[in-house]
Amino acid sequence: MSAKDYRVPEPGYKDYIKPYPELWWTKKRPYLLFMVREFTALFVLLFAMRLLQGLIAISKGEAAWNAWLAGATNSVALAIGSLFALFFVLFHSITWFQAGAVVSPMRIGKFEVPPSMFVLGNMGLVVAVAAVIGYFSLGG
Amino acid sequence: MSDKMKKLTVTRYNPETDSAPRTQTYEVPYDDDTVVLDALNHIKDQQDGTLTYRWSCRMGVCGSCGMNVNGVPKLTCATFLRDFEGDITVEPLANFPIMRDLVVNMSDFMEKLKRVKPWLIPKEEKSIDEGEYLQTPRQLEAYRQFSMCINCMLCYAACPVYGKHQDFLGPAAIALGHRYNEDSRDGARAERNKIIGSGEGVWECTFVGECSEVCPKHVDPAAAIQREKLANVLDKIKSFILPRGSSR
Ligand code: SF4
Ligand code: FES
Repeated sequence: MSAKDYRVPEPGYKDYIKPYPELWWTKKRPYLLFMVREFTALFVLLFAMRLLQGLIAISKGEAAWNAWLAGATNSVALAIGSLFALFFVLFHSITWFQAGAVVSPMRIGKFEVPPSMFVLGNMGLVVAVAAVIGYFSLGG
Repeated sequence: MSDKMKKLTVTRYNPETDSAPRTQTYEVPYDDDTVVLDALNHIKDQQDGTLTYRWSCRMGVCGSCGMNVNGVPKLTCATFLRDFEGDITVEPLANFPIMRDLVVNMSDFMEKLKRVKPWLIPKEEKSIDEGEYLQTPRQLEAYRQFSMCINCMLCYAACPVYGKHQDFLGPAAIALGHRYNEDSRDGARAERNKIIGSGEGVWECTFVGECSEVCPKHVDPAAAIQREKLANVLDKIKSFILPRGSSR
């Protein structure tokens, strides 16, 4: 929508436009992390789809659920794939919490919770909830 | 001034004679108080009067002395030579067209700034007799941080999205739009968000976060962008549920 491309020099000017470095994402850690996020987003999608499949299976009854479970545990490829995906989901959740921390900064009284603490706290919560669920689903 | 010396490699570009920028190295004396801008002034005064760069206030207020120092966007008037181990490279702010030496073309940024209407547009104009638009300290806090921007464009130089897509409205313009959107005296949020909420606005941002890293005024434009993303989504949902009178 820009009316004008300012990287094309105005008449009478000879502005020099530096080409953007091909390997720009190798120049800084945050750039690299950004690229990793872009390329691993697919795993998050696959993970979510697989999870959704499980939920649908639950709603269909015990037989469907058991079949889904068997699929998850019998196929080595699927199990490895799921572990991989889980790893990236956890990796991405750090970014989500980071974004969450800046979107709605948390205050306790006068104390503004720093984003790093917000992220750590939430990740801790994730681990705790997972542990509780794990404990019960593995038969207590 | 002490007799410590520092080597500065500076970008030179003369549009009349050069087809591409080149570099030139100077040696300058420095002590604990010397900033990069002082070093450039020393070069211009004592060694090479043709060196061209922008500056004004020398105190981190005007926002005109931004350059890439060792690859990182910095206000050169607030960047001390003593903080660098070896030689220093000084380049024009990245991601902008180079006009001459260290001077970049800022037209793109100026145009974008105008497009987000960074001024108060009250819902209803009050006549002078009706008095001031009042605001509580709490309402002020909602946007104060985002009003600290000095338009130095360091955030644009740090943003890889802007580097790749010139269409992106960019960190400072969105942060300033957000500043007025959050102002209790303002009523033009819907109007601004036609641009801020568009594909060239917040949705180009992938939350790399380098804009907030380099911002000398702790504006945190990345936070402003993420908040505008949420606000825009909520607005969309609201206008879906309540097609009429949905903008707050
Ligand atoms: S947001 Fe910060 S870095 Fe960007 S122009 Fe404003 S003061 Fe400079
Ligand atoms: S000269 Fe004004 S900000 Fe550096």
